Parts: sequence; C-alpha cells; structure tokens
Amino acid sequence: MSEAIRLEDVSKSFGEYEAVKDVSLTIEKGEFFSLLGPSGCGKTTTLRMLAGFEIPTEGRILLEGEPVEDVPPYERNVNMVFQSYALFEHLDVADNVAFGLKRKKVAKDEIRKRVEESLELVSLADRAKSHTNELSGGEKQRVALARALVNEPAVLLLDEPLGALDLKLRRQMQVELKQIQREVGITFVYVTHDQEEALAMSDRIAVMSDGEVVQCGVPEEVYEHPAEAFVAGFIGVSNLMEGIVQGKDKVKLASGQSVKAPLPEGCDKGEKVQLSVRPEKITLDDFERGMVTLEGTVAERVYQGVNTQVTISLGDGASVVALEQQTYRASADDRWEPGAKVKLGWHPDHCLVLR
Amino acid sequence: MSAGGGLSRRQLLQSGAGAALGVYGLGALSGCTVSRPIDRSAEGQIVVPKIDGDLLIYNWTQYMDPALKSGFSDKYGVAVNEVNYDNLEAMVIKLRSGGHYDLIWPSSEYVRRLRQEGLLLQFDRNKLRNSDKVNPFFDSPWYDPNSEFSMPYTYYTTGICWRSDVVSGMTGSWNDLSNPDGAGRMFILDDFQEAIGEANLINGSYINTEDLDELEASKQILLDQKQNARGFSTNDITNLVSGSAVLHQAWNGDVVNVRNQVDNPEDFQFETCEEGVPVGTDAMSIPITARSPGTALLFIDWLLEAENAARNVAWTGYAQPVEGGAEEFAKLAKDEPSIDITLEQLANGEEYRLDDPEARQAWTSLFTEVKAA
Amino acid sequence: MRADYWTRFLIPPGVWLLALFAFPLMLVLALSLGYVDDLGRAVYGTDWSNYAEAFNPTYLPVLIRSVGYAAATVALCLLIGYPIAYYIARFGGRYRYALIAALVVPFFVNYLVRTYAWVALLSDEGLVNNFLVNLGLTDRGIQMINTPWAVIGGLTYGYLIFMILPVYASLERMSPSVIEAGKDLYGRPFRTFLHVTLPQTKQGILAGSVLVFLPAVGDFVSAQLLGGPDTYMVGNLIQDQFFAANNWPFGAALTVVMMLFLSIWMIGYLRSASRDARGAAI
Repeated sequence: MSEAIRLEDVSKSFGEYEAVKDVSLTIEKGEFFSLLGPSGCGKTTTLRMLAGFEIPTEGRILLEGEPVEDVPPYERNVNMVFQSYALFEHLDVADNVAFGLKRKKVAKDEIRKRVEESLELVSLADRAKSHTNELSGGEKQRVALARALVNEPAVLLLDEPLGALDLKLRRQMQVELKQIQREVGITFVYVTHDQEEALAMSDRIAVMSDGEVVQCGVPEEVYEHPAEAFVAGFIGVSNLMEGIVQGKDKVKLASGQSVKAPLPEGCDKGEKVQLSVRPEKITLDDFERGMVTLEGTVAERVYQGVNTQVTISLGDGASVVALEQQTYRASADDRWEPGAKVKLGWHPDHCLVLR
Repeated sequence: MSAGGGLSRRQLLQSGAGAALGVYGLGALSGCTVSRPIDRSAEGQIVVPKIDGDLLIYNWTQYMDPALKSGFSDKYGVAVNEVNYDNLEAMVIKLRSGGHYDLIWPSSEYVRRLRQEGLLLQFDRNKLRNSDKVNPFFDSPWYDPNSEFSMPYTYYTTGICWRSDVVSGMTGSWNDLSNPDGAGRMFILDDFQEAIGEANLINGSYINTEDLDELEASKQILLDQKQNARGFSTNDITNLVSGSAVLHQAWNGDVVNVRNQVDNPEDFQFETCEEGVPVGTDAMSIPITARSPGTALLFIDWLLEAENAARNVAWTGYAQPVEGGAEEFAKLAKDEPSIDITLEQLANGEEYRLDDPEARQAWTSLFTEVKAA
Repeated sequence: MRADYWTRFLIPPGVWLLALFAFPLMLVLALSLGYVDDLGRAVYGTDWSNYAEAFNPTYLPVLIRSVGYAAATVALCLLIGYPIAYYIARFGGRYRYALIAALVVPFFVNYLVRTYAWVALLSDEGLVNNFLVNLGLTDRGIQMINTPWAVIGGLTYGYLIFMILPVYASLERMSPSVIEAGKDLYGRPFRTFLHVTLPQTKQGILAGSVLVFLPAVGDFVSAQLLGGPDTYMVGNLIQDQFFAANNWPFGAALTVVMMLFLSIWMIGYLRSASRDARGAAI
C-alpha cells in the first residue's frame, strides 16, 4: 500500500489558542481512518486542514506525495461530507450531486452518467429530481455522500457525518458507509467523537486529546492496550484503580489489597500507577484458576437486557463496574442486591497497568 | 390570511368584495366637505386689541425676527409661542380641523378664500395705534374689501436674479430666462402662478388669463424655457447661494437674503421685467378659532410700530408696507436698487388672483403637464 | 374551540388595521370620487372623472420614469447593499450588531434633512466640487445635482438600508458550511458566490427589492430636491395635487391608481415568496 496522506509536525493556532499541536500521521491509500476524540480535541481542525479550509501554522501536509498545505480547497483533490450536510437547497438532488463535476467542466453526458451511478451507489436513484427539503435526514446524508464521491477524490473527508441521525439509523448508515467505502476503495478520513462508531468502522484510529494524537493504531490495539489513562477512559468504561507498585508483578491497591498485574518495563517499586480492567472482563462470584479476586459491596445494579451492569464499591471511594452476561442465568433479580457483599475477579492478563 | 401566508384566489375575491361594499357605504358621504365642523361661536364678534391670554402664532419658518416675540412678552407679560407651516395648504387644513391658532400669515388669495369660508375673525383696525401708518395702497384691497379681516405684512415683486460674473446680455424682459449664458443653470419657480404668469406676460396676455388658447401659448413658452432650465424650484436662495443657479426667477426678498449670504453680493443682480411686475403680498389674519384674538390684534399693532417694522425687515429681508419698514427696505436695496419696490410698481403691479376654481384647475394641470413632459 | 380561543387575539391587531389602514383607505377611495367646490374645498361625491384624468396620456411618461428610477434604485441598492451585508454577515464577527446599528443610525435622521445635506455636498459650489476645484481637476465644478442621476442617487441613499437588512438576514441564516461545500466542490470564490451564495439568498434579495421599489417609486423628496426639469415623478405629481394645485380628489384618484398598480407587483412577490416557503416547509 502507498500513502494517501501524510502530516508532518502539523500545528494550527488561532491567536493564542493552539488547536492542533505537532501532529504527524500517515494514512494509507484505501484506508478507513478515524480521528477520534472529545469535542475541542483538534480532530475537526485537522480535518479542515486536510480539506484546505484552514492553513497550518506550521508543518507540512502531503496528498499523494505532493505538498498541499497552501492549496485552496477548490484546487485540492479531496472532498468533504459535512456534519450539517450543507446541501444546496436551491438545487434538486441530481444537481447537488452534479455540482462538483460542473465546476470541473466535465462533459454533460459524462456528468449525467456519473450522477446516476453515484445516486445508485447510495440507493437514491429514484430521488434524483426531488427537492432537498423533501428528504429525510438519512437521505440527505446519502446525497451529501454521493455529491462528494461522484468526484472520485483521492481522499474523502467525513466530519461527524452521522451525528444528526437517530441511533437506529446511525447503526444502519455505519454499515452502509463501510460497505460503500469497500466498494469504491477511496481513502476515508472520518472524524467522530463516538468511540463505538470508530471501533466498528475504522481500519485504524488516531485518538486525539488537547490537539495532540495520543495513540494511533488498529481498533483492537487501541481498545485492548490503551497507551494512556485518557485513551482507556475515553474508549469504553475502563475501571481505573489507583495503586502502588510493590514488587515484581505486584500492585497494592488503594483499598489495601495486593493483586497480581503485568507491570510494563521499567516500573520501580513505590511508583504510583493505575490499573485498568474492562467491565466485561470482570466476573462475579464465579472464578477460574489464576484469577485475581477482591471483595466489595454492590452499590448499584442496572438490568440492561443483554447483560446486567453492576457497580461494586471497593471501599475507600474506589469502585468498579462489571458487566455480567445473562447467558445461563434465568433471572438476575435474586442476585447482587445493592448492599450485598460480593466477590469479583479477573485474569491478570486482562488487567492493564497505566503509569 | 391562511397559515401558509399566501393569498388564495378566494380570499382575494372576498377582500375585493369587502372593499366594494365599503365604497358603496361611503357613497353616503357624497356632498360632504372633507373637514369636520369647528367651533364658530366667535362668529360676528369684532375683535378689539386687548390682552386676553397667551399667544399661539402660526407662521412660515424664518418669517419674523424672534426678538419681536420676546419684546412683546416683556412688554405685555404674556407668552408668545410659535409653530410653523411649510405651505399654506397645510395651514388651511389645520384651521379647518379646528386648530386654535391666534394669528396666521396667509397670502392675499388665501385671505380671500379663508374669509369666504368664514374662517377669519373681523377686527376693528381703527382701534390700532399704527394702522394709519400702513401704505394706503393696501386700504380695502380686492381680497379684503373693507380691510377688516387682514393687515398687510410684507409685499414683494417677482423678477429675475442673475450672476453678472457668468451671465451677460440681460435685457429687462422675461425672455431673459432663455438667456443662453444660463443654459442648464436656470431655474423657474416651482409655483404654478409665477411660472404661468411670466409666460402670460411674455405673450402679452393678462397675467391671470383664463383663456385656454392664451394658456396653451404660455405652455409652449414654458416648454421652451424648460429646455434652458436646470429645474423647477422655490428654493431660490439655496440654488443661488450654492452656485447651482446663475439665472433664477426669484422674489426680491429672497435676493436680499442671497446677497447677505454670499461673499460676492455685487455679482448677484436683480431685475423686474418690462412686460409686467407681479406684486404679491402676505397678510396677517386672526382665525375664528383663536383663543386670544385680542392679544393677537395687539401683536399686529406691535409689529406695525416703525421701529419694530424696521427691525423685522432687516431680519427677514422682505419689505413691509408700513412706516419704518419701507425705509429700512430701501436701505437694504441701496446697492441693487431694482430690488426695492416703487410706488409706480405698486400702482401698475400685477397681482395673482384666480377666483374661478375651474380656471385654477386649468392652470394647475397646465403646469403639471409642463413639468411632466 | 382552540381555534376560537386564538382567534380572539387577532381582534386588537384587526381593529388597529381597520382604524389606521382600512378606514383611511376608504376615505381616500371616497375622496377620489369627489370634486373641488368654489372655495377650493374638497367635497365627497360620485364622480369618476378624476380617474379618467388619471389615465390622461400626459402622465404616462411620469409613470414610466418613476418605475425606471425605482428599478435603477433597486439595482444600485443591490450592488452597494449586497457586498455590505455580505461583509458584515461573514466577517463582522462580534462587531456584527454594532456595524448594523451603525448603518441604521443615520436613518433616524429625517429623510428630507439627509437629502438637503446632499444638496449642500453636491451642488456646483458645494463641498465636493470645491474640493475638486482645489485639486485642479475641474475649473468651475461639475454639475451633479438636478440630474436624473442625482435623483436615483438620492433614492438609493434613502432606501439602501431596506435592501441591506433583509439581505443581511438571509446571509446570516445561511450556514457557512454551505459556502465551504461550494469551494470544496471545486467552486472558485466567484463561482461559489454565483452558484451557491446568491441563489441561497434569493428571498432576501427579493424582499429587499420590494422594500426599496415600493417607496422609491412613490418618492417625491429626492426628485424635488435633487431633480432637474425632467425628473418629475409620480410622487411629485400626487404631492402637487394636494399642496400646490389644491386638487385633493385628483390626488386621491392618482393615489388609488398607483396603489392598484403597485399591488399587482406586490401580489406577484407574495405568490413567489409563498411558493418558496411551501417548498421549504416540506
């Protein structure tokens, strides 16, 4: 695979405010790449620099090897799908899609053919003559997608494109988007604050915080091996527990118990660390050999259908969340009443030590 | 209107029908004049000069020295309040709707109209200390046969003012309005009587002619003069001072004001014309709705005092036909004697008067046609 | 029952409209059928001759001239007002409201007074010409007032704000990302303006055009103060009937004819606007 986009030490300041700090990234051709982070983390600014709406204060942006940081958006072979759709309300669906090709002065016949194809791609062939105001939110999103894809850009930029849709439609569109991306093979750069969305769709994810990329990797890696407490906390519930290193693979928790945990290289005795265990890795009252076990008190129990979420107080203010599958339990009602003592445990392998 | 904000055909039809019904209903108004009845309880009363309350005077703007108001206040211990109008028609509207003004300044034609409408109070001029100092030419004028409803305030001539540094070859005729030196910088007064009047005089017609053929000939003259003109305007002072005009049909009093306002008064000359000199007069009258008619008459007397008249003439630039006023005006006209009004001009002067409403309508539509052409 | 409840709230504005609009309008209609008596007073009647006179071909050039001036005024207001509104809406930032206020404040001053100020500025020996003479660009000043251009200029100055405000509102309502989408889709700045911004602000332009056209076509101040011999407009014609010719019934008839004429344009605009609004509502 060759590279589609490379950012080299890119920074962007708005006056005093540094929105993006020293970001370096390489995005491969055909990749579905997500920029993930909370609002204000710099992900949208990064995307807007890729589109050409913002010019980096420092650093270089290479599009298929060519430096483009000063190239205006209308001369850049990238297209964007806006969060608010940004459809042209005075044009019908087909004319919206044809807009870019007309500006590029593509021949009429060719335009008609390509508009038809891309509307087919997003399953809107029958709405070509509709007014944009007659479309549902999901349909508008598809028009925005077709309007960008029809130009066959080197990179498609998507700025939280599903943010305005309801949950069910969002799930459906996630699947569709991914399918379309596979079909056309165009590089997608996808900005989202929804970690589930990023995990489900991306080939790779760059997690951003405070203008910096804190971790970049495939979804499994980012989820299973968060590089920082921020990543662990942002992606999923991470049950962070304070502790002090006691010796080889031994950490003493704030609640006083010592547990076995795989220490990263170079951890010294007495160092403060955080233990992270994903809720679905914690079992209650049901252990296997080699597991770490602790005692706690049930603080809260929430029945969620597929599973039950139990919050357990460990004393000393610390608490963890466990997700219990309902697989072989007929009813959860008789178990884990709030206030009941409970034993919990996990495999040391599933525990992550963050410095 | 429907929630959509549009007008359906049906709604349009309905509102049209409503309007038609309304018009039908208003047919009941037919024959009524456009004003409401006013308090005429003072009718028949003959006003004598005496203090009977504070004064509310209704005048043109800048047509009286304000010092005369405060002087009167100090002497008689009453307040003198002033409001202004910018055309006589507006003043008449206010009177007809019952406005309580104590003193107004109508032109001669308006004195006649208001008198015939019964909107003016009769007063006894023999009770005034200064009435015998008024120029006897104004005794019992055509517009006020027994001099009992009005007292002359100013009198003025209409002529041509020109810039002698730009325009040469003036001949003392109304045809000078077509002087090519003034091409594109000549103004005709935007007043249907002054405009048609000078054209009538050029034609040798009676200044107030009602003959339609003669008027048609005057229309042609005006259309020709319009070719040379920059506009129709009564702002002769502004036009001349600002340099927009180098040739202007103008009132002599305005020329006095122009010469006071410019650095080169000697370049602003004035002529009256051999074909005829229109002479106009503004008078003072007391409306029937006045609340202090006695004070108003006393104020008229105050304005006629020689010293006050002189002072007022110096301030307004307009001549007053009363002892003190006429002499002061002669002083103002010292450097340009044609501005002054001679007894001969008064005796031979042409006054605008259109008694017949139909003739008046013929004149106004003729002037409109000239301007619209 | 709900509808009845809310209908009650329409009564005060209805009475207001009836008292201050419908009733005077009826009086104007009635007056237009009247005549002038021997004392020069207007008398109500049932005489259609004023309407016959209103359609006298003499006045056709006046009407054509008024429409022409008003159309030119609309065009100029658009050319001047659009960039101003655009600049404020797009780049005004937090100064937007201050800038709009700064534009509106001069309009608190009476239109007549403002127009007089132009006379002082633009007359042959006025400030502008004095400046030009001092620079040696001209030796006796250029005639700027008392021309058709001065009248159109005065109208443009007088009614510019009525174009700026609706255009500004439509620009502000427009999402900036739509303009970005235009640029992203290979629209150079001017093309983006032409194909995206302009059509999206069409309703603002239309509203502004109507708001400028209607008062401009009936204006008399600009032609009276800045006009020349050949700039007589419908407004001057009507004004003269009331205040110079003392012929109120004819003035009223002209007013009614003018209102009907303008209503045709207005209905056209309302239809177009409601068609667009219907499209947007679905």
